[in-house]
Amino acid sequence: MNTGCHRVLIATFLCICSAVLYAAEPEPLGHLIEPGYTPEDAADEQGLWLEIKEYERSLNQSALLVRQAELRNYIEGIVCRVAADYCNDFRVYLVRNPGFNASMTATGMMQIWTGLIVRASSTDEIAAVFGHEIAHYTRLHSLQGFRRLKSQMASASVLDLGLTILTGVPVPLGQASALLNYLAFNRQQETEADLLGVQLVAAAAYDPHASYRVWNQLQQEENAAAVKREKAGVFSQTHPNSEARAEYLLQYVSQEFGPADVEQVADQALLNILNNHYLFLMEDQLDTNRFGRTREILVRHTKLGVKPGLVNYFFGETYRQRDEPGDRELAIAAYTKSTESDGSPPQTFKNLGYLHLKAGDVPLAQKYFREYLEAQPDASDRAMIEFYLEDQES
Amino acid sequence: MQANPIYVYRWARWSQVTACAMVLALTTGCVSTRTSQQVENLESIAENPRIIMMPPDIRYYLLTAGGISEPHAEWTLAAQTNFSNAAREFSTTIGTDMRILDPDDTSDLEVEYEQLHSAVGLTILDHHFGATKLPGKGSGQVFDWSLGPGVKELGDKHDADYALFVYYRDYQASGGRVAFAILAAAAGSYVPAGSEHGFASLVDLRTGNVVWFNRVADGSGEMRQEDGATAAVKTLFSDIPTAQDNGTAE
Repeated sequence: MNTGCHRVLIATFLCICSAVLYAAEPEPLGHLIEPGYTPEDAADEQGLWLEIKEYERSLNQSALLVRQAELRNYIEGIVCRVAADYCNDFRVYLVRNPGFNASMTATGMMQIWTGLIVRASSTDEIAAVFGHEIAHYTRLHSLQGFRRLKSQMASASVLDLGLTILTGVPVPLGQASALLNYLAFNRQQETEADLLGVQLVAAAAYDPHASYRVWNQLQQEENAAAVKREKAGVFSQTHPNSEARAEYLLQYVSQEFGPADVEQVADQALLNILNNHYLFLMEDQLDTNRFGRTREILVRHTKLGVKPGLVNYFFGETYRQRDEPGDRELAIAAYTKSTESDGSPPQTFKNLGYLHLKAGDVPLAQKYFREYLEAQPDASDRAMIEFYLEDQES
Repeated sequence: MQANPIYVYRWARWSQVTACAMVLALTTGCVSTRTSQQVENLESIAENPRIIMMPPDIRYYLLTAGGISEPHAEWTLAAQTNFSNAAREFSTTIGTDMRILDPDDTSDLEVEYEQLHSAVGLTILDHHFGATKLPGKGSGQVFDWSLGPGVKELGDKHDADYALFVYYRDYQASGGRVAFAILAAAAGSYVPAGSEHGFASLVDLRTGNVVWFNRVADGSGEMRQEDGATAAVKTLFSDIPTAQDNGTAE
C-alpha cells in the first residue's frame, strides 16, 4: 500500500472516531445532586473546586461587593426561597455592576450584579434569574461542560491531525467545529436551566410568568437603545438569544402553569429596595453613558411607582449627561419636577444651580445653591458651593 | 493518594522524555533562571532579617490531549505543602527567620497584596524580561519596581522586614497529550507537551520595593515530590540576598 493511501485511511479512521464522540443525548430534567453536595473523588472536579475556591478568596475582598444589609438580605432571601433545600449550598455575592447578569459556579458561589435589581419590575423576575442559576448548579452544568470541552477538543485535535496528514496543510477545522459543538451544548444547558429554573420558581410560589417577562423587558431596552448590541458571532453564541428564550419560556410556562394573571400587583419589597438604594444603583447605570437604555429603565421605574423625586432627578441627569441642543432646558424641567415631588435628593438643587449659572441666571443659581446647602448641611463640596455664592455676590 | 494521578504522572514523565528525545529539541536548555535585584544583603533591626512568605501561589494543571488545562487539586496541594516545607528549611541557610502565612487564615489585606504582587510580577515578566521593554525603565536596564509604600501595613502587622511572594504554574501533559504530541511530531507539526514557569519576589516591607526578583522556566523542579520541591526552592531562590553575616544559622 502506498503512503498516500495509508494516510487517507488513517485520516478517515480518525474522522470516524471523532464523529462518534460528537453524538449528544438530551437528558430528562431534575436535580442531579443532593443538597450539601461536595465534589466526588474525581481529579477534574476536585481541581475545579480548588480553582474556584481561590477565586472566591479574592472576590471576598473586592471593593465592588455590596455590603448593605438590607440589599443583601433581600437578595439572599430570594435565593434561599427559590433554592429551598439547597439554600445552604450557596454563597451569594452582590456585585456593583450595572450590567444585567448573574452567575453560578460548580461550588455554589453565586454572583449577582446590581444591574439586575435596576432592571427588574418585580421580585418574581429576580427570582426567575436565580432559579436559572440554581438549576445550573443542581444539574452540574459547569462540570459537564468542562468534561465535554475536554473530550471534544481531544477528538478534534486528532481530527485536525488527520486532516493535516491528509492535506499537508494544518487546518484547525476539527477544533473550530468542536468549539461550535461545545457552544451548542452550552446553549442546550442554558435552555435546560431556563426550564428547571421555572419549576423551582413556581415551587417557591413566585410567579413563573416572570421568567419570560425578564427577556421581554431586555428586548424593550434593546429597542430603546441608541447603540444596539452587536449580534453575537458564531463563536460567541454561548446562550440562546433573548427572543428565543422569551418564546419558549412563554410556551412552557403557559402550558405548565396556565395563563398569566391579568392584574399586576405592585411589588412593595422591590419598591422599598429601589427607593432606599436608588442613588448608587442608578448612578452606576448612568455611568454606562447609555441614554436610551437608562431612560427606558427610568420609564419602567415610573410605572413601578419609585418615588418621582428620585426618577425625575435621574431623567435630569440623563439630559445633563447627553448635553445636546435643548437638553439643558429638558434637564432643568426634569430637576424642577423632581424638587416638587417626594424623594428628591439634595443634589437636584445643586445641579439646578449649576445649570442656571451656565445659563447666566445668577440669582436663580444662588437660590438653588442655598437650597442645596440647607438640604445637605454636611455636603462634602460645601466649600466649593460657598465659593460660588461669594464669587457671584462680589 | 489515588491510583490515577500517580499513573498519569509516571507515564507522562517518562513519555515526555521520550517525546523530547524523539521529536525535537524545541525547548531551550534545561533550567533557565533570570534574576534582578536591588540589594546585596538583607537588613533588619532584629537579630535575623524577618521574612514572611505569602501562601505560595502554586498551581498544577493537567494538560489534556486537546490542550485544555485542567486544574489538579491533589497535585496543587501537594506542591504547595512541599514547597512551603522546603522554603522554611532553605530560609535558615541564608540566615533569616521565615514564617509562612496560612492560606486559610489570610485577611483582606494579604489577599489584596497577593493579587497586587501577581499583577506586578507578571508585568515585570512582560516588560523587564520579556520582549516589550519599557523606555521609562531604561528599556530593561533599570529595575525599580514596587508594590508601593502601603505594604508597610503588612510588615507592621506581621512584625516582618521582608515579604516573599511566589507564583508558579505547572502544566503536566496527560498521557493522551504526550501521545498526541508524538503523533503530531511524526506528521511534522509541533504540539507543546506541558510547561512550567514561575517567579518569586522579595519585597522590602518598609518601602514596598521589589528588592529581588527571579523567574524560572522549564525544568525548575517537580514540586509534587518532596525532593523535587527542595530542588525547585534552590533554583527559584538561587541568588536571593542573604543576611549580612550570611549563613550564621547553622
